[in-house]
Amino acid sequence: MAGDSVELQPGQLKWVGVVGLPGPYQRWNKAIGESFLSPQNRDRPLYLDIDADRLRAVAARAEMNVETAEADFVTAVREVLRVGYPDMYAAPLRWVHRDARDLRLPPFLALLGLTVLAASKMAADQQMAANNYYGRLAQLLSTDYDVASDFPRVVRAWEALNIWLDETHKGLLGKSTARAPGHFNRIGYPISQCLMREQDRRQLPAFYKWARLQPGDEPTVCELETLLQRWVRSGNSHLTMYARHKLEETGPLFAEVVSNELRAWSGEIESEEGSTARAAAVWLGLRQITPSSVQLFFVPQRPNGFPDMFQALDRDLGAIDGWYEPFPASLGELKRSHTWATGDGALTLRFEPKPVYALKMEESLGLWREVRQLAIGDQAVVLAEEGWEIWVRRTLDSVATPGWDILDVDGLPDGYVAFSDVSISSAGEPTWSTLDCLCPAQRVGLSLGGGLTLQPGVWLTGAEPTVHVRTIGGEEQVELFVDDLCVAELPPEGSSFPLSSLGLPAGQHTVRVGDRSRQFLSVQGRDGPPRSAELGTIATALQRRDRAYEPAKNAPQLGSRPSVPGVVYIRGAEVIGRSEDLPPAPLVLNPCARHFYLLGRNPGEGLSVPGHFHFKWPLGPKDQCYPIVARPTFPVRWLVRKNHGAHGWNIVPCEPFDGPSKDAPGDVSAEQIEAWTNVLLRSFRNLRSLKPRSRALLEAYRGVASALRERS
Amino acid sequence: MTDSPLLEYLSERQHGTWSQFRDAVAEVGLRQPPVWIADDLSSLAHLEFQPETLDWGVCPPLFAELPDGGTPRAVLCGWRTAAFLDKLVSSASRARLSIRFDALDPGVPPRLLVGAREWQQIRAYAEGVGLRCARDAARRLSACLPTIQSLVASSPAELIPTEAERLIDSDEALSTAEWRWEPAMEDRVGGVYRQHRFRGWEYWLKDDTSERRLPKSVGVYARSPSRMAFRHSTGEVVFHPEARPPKLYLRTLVLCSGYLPKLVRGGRLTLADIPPDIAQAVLSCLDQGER
Repeated sequence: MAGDSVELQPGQLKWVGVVGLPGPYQRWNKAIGESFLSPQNRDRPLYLDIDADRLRAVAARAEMNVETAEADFVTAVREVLRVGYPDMYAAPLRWVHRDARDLRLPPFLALLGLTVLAASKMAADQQMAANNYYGRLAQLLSTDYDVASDFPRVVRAWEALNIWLDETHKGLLGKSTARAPGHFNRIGYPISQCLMREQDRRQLPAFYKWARLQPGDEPTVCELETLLQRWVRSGNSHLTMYARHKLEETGPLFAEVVSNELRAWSGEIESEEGSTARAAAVWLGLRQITPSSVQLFFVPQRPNGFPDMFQALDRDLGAIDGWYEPFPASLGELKRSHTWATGDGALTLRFEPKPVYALKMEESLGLWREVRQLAIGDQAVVLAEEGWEIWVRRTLDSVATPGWDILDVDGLPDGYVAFSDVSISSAGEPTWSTLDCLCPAQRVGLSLGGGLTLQPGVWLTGAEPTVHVRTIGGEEQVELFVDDLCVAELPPEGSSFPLSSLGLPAGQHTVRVGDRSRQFLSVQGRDGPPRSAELGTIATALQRRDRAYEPAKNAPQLGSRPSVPGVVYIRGAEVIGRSEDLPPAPLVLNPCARHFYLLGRNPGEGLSVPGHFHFKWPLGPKDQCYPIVARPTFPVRWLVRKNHGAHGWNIVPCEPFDGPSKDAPGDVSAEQIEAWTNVLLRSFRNLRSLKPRSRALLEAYRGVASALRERS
Repeated sequence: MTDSPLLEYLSERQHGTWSQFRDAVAEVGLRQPPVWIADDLSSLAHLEFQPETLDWGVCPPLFAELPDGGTPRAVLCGWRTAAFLDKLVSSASRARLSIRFDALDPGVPPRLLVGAREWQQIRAYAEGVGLRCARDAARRLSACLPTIQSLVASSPAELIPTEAERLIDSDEALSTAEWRWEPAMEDRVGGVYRQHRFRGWEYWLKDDTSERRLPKSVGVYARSPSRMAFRHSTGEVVFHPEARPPKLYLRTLVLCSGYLPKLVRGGRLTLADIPPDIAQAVLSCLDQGER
């Protein structure tokens, strides 16, 4: 790419012109990038789903000709390709691997867009079969040449785009979705981008709800495909005909796209008919204020891509984790639905009233929060309209352990009754769909959850996950196998089993129930700390002011080499900073004495340290003596002490045994110089026992002291 | 896995968010509130937390030398795994050093104490296993503690909300009975206030000139000079469970022994083996004693 490297951060988008690529191609490349890539897509699957309609929208956004958008786009891309030559895709893919690691917009987006445009035209007609991808691509490029032979190069570009999105930009502009599973091989990449249109993707939360899928569920692709086909046939689906055809033609690939979406789904709900806004659910919350009163709250969910601060017309909501701050709900508000929208209408929060609410304790919010569906083992509170009380009682009799009770408190809305101490113990089939929330699902499922997970599919040895098994109302016990050994027989309605109880060794393991299986890896902790720059970057920064420290404002993060003058960092037990900013090392004067003097090499550098007196010396075995600690502000070169029981003074040199400085520093007083000389010129009891080298060093210091005394 | 799966897991992750920490505490089956565990791990110099986001990071491993000059001893702080501890133990026996594990509170890794006859032996051992020694760690920390006034001054100015509660001060602040919060009157007087918010309790301090939002520990120490005492005869620092000192001060005291504060009769917390000069430095920075 041309131009100097620019200081960009992951999540920021910048286009720099590329030498050798024609202007029209570059304009389309930039327009596609700006149209599809945005921080709004953070951690959400990103699809480069280019078809004729999207090209018109891209052209309108970039102020290009909308009417001829598709033709202009194809012409612009065709211009950079060497159609008819063996390396026809070479020009925009010259530096594909380097581009993948560069934060700037890669120059091959428009080319990949063209391959998706070809995939979007795959429908049976009189000339071509529906699955003839290369035929459509050749048709677009107006060539009879074999466009497939050099296509592996395009595949590498798709892989480079995946790296650019997931690693270089860390998913901040969207997460990669281009895959080629199974028999789709190379052409799966462009096809995977256009299997669904935006309005179909907005229907997926309705599918999850229908299939009773929760955020975090990981059904197999095969299972999803079956469920999707059932959903489409059920009459509940509002998928477009386009998506229905794609599901029929490309089943597993379509299910894989839905699987990607499910992994990224964090509770977003289906948008209203005809709406282009993204919608998040608002749940009901209940907090106990006093033993005899409760308060109701609205608890908005915050799906991926929703902002840190949700600014609606009548309120601003701060975020924490996957939630926005709950706010009180008045008792009358439960009877109708409510919507809160951002100023531009792009994002909405929606509360839907229900006759029966199942609520679980949400520790992070400090309240009971409504959930879509309870699971076995859940402790819950149930809030129901009085007309539903009898049905709730019957349902709880079948799915909860005895002991639940009517909650008699103030603060409940009129016409509602609350049940407390509900402990769900088994799956059940609700009489009415309104009661679905009380009955744990009976769908077949085998999932791994909990444990100490280091990354997807990898757990710490000794803290492996729990296996959750759900069955379709079977009547026989279910055998759970781990590495082909039967480790447990679970009840017919399914149950959970903690794998950590098995004491599994580190390594790859397989969990199997019936024909369903899951693999996971357990690893042991390392035997030494990693040499990672990310270890220990959090620290408390302090600003030095003379000899005192105070909290530092706007100090940079602690790096591997602290270089900010005046700032020290406290990290665990360490104090880190430049040597001139660190506090002088405290000096422990051990053993104790009646008095000490500490002397530096510069005249005037001295510190008098009072010691203490013991009536009994040497100390008895049970007597206690705290060490005397001095905090000199200069490097100490001589330690002078008056010992217990001794009449005179002793002197010992300190490392590094360097000679005296002849002149006093400018900031010491005449009194300090006099004190320094007086101490050095004392007579010392241990003079004869000093080593010759130490004695010579002392003579040198005394020479300076005598000269200073004469001068004064 | 070690006796402390939590620290082993956090060590493998190296750093993360508060929700990951909270989930890990729940996964290892600890019943204490995660914020208590976080306080303990921070006091023991194993983990650091960002004050605003509560993002956490494991400190690089090192030996913190204890300040008692008579018997050279050091405790292991920061990153640790079971395999790493095995390596340390086998190296210590080869170097003829004494090594000891002392159980601490639930959820908190045991204290690993290395003892020798000379400091040089411990330093050579640490170098041999690739670790650094923080010499006289508690004393060095005590030398750069900020004053409580500077902590107050660096806290953001923010008006105390209506319907806040005020801490009713007492002269006998070291005992348990007098800690009481009452609904605040319209006319605000100086003191520590609190209100339950989304993330839990939040605290404010009102003094003559300003109202500031700050951590509870800073508020209660800035407000009163009698929250903490030092018993010279026993070398113990004593304070009320509701008045745990701010993070750095508590860590300084904990690194004198490697032990966490202990609850004693009378409902007070004590930390033993505190040298007088370190206690003096901490009390002085916290403005404790006669004013």
